[in-house]
Amino acid sequence: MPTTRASAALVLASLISPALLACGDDITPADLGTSPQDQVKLADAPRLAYLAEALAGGADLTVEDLFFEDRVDFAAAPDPTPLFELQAAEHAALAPLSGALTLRVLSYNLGLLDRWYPFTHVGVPEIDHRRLRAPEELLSADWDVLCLQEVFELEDVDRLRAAADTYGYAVFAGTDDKHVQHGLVILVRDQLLAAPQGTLEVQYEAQREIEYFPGPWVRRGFLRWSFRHAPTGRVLHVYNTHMTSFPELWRQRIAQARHLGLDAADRPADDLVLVAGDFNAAPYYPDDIFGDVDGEPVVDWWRNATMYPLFLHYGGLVDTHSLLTPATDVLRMAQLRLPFDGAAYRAEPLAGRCAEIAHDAFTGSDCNSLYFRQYAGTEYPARLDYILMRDPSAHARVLTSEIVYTEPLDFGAAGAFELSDHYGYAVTLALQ
Amino acid sequence: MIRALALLLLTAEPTQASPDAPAQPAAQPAPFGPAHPPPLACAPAPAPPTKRKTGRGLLIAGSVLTGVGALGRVGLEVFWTTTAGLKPGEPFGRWSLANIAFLTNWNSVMFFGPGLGLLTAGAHRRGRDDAARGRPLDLTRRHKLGVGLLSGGLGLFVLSRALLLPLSRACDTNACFYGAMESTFWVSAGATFVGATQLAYTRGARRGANINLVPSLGRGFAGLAAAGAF
Repeated sequence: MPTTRASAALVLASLISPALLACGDDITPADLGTSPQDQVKLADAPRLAYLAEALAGGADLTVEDLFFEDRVDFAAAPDPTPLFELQAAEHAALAPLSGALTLRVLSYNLGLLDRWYPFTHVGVPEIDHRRLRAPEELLSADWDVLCLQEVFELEDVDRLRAAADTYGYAVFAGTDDKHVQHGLVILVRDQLLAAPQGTLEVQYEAQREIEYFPGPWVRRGFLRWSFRHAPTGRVLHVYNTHMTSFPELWRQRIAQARHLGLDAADRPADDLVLVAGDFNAAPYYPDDIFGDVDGEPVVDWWRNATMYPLFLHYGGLVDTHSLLTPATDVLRMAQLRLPFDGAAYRAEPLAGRCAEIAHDAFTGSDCNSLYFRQYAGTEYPARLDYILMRDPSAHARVLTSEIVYTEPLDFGAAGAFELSDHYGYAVTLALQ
Repeated sequence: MIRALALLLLTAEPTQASPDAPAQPAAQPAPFGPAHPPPLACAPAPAPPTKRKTGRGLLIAGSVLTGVGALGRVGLEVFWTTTAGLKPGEPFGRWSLANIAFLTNWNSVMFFGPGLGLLTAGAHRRGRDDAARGRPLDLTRRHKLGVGLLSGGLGLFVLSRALLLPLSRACDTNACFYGAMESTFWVSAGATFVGATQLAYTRGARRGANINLVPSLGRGFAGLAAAGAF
């Protein structure tokens, strides 16, 4: 809840024109260039080389250059296939584990958003029905760790806490004041928790400030819950985040990825790091122009694709959805109707191709009825939700990775629709 | 206070000889004496009537601004219940306090504040004009009413705004918070506006009552004299 400082800010802010507040988001990291990871030449890094191939002058660019708009000029769509294949190959080369226990992890943007700001409203449809159903639906499904996003209101956290008491979970949602800004919740099965434990709540330096005020009071950030996994004794660090949305805000996202990635890379090498969340950008986009908003084409999708490799780079992370087999983003994007045709994409979800496109990549898609009602034809379908892993000591293996909660549920008189406007992403790990 | 006497003369224009009339021999000045009082100096031409400051324009302008402010506030309430989708029984979202403060204060500063200023200025002038024209004023009753309403209105407004943050913590529902905020706003605003204009009116009237028009007669003239504090 607003503190004394925030209360004073309320009075002051109420008399200042929003135009003043909205000018000049400060999104270049203040410490950019100070990390060795900033200095890496794209062409020299196996995970980043494909970016260099797609960028004008890419042979000479460093990671630091990607934070400056005038230096990021894509001549072609950056294709992450080499990175997908590299990750799968590295995972396949790992020796099998013995005596490993399973750990089922879910990342899910619940879409419990219903807020107003001057003269407009932002929300996900059917929230009144979904918010009552979600706790039971999720906590009865035998997940070990749940990382949930867009649980903005404290009443929804309270419902999760009540269900957590029933099903034997502990909950970390940050402080009340900041929680209503970031909407993040981590739940861990009680019996898995052992000391030492520690939690952290961080708000990113890079923000879209108007999203805070006079917007719907949203400030992006991450939670971290560190604990000893009681059955194995392994120390786990579970991160949950929800990055800035909208394609034109790609610079905020890569700054946020750098912030969290560097924190994750600081964890001890013998520990397992899981970074879950809605990162609001996919690894791949075939065309730079896709979608339209009020008749204006949406552009800059290729720049959005830099978030994925940069996040992996800064955090020393791997993508759990590209370890058993290479991720299918490029394959599924190739099935889209391109170039973009607004009329076709508004007439039917994905211009009628939902039945052909398997649910193994996209987590934000017009094939989801709630997503279609909000965003039809304004954005690519995309893999927005991830669980990344940092495991330098190779204590974990991916057993399964899948897109979940894809089917509509029966809400009785309210009809049938999905539990959220996103699909969930889940991974089952073998942990030693 | 300096009291001054202003003389307003309403006299007939002095007669003029017809240009076609035969020239009259120059009149010899009459000897002075009781039968022939010395002529007075010619009365100055009457001043053109000045426009009365009735405060009408200020009252109209103030009413318009206040009306726009009131419409804006009502529009905000309609927005909350429709587009924003706020339901009375749902929990109040304290995250929205900044936007509530921004929207309500902006409306008050842009419209209600200037509207109040113009209305009180207009009421002051109207009171002064009414007093100058000798209308019945009932100033004592108006003064008491003004003091009571203004102090009550301002007091309620300040107190209710000071308690808004604690109220937001205490209120479980939208109905509780928005109901309290809006009801205290309308009651305090109404009392403040009525009280301020009544007080301004009485003050203007008391100033206007100190300027009196009195008949003044004398040889060769009849008119009105205005006497008062200026």
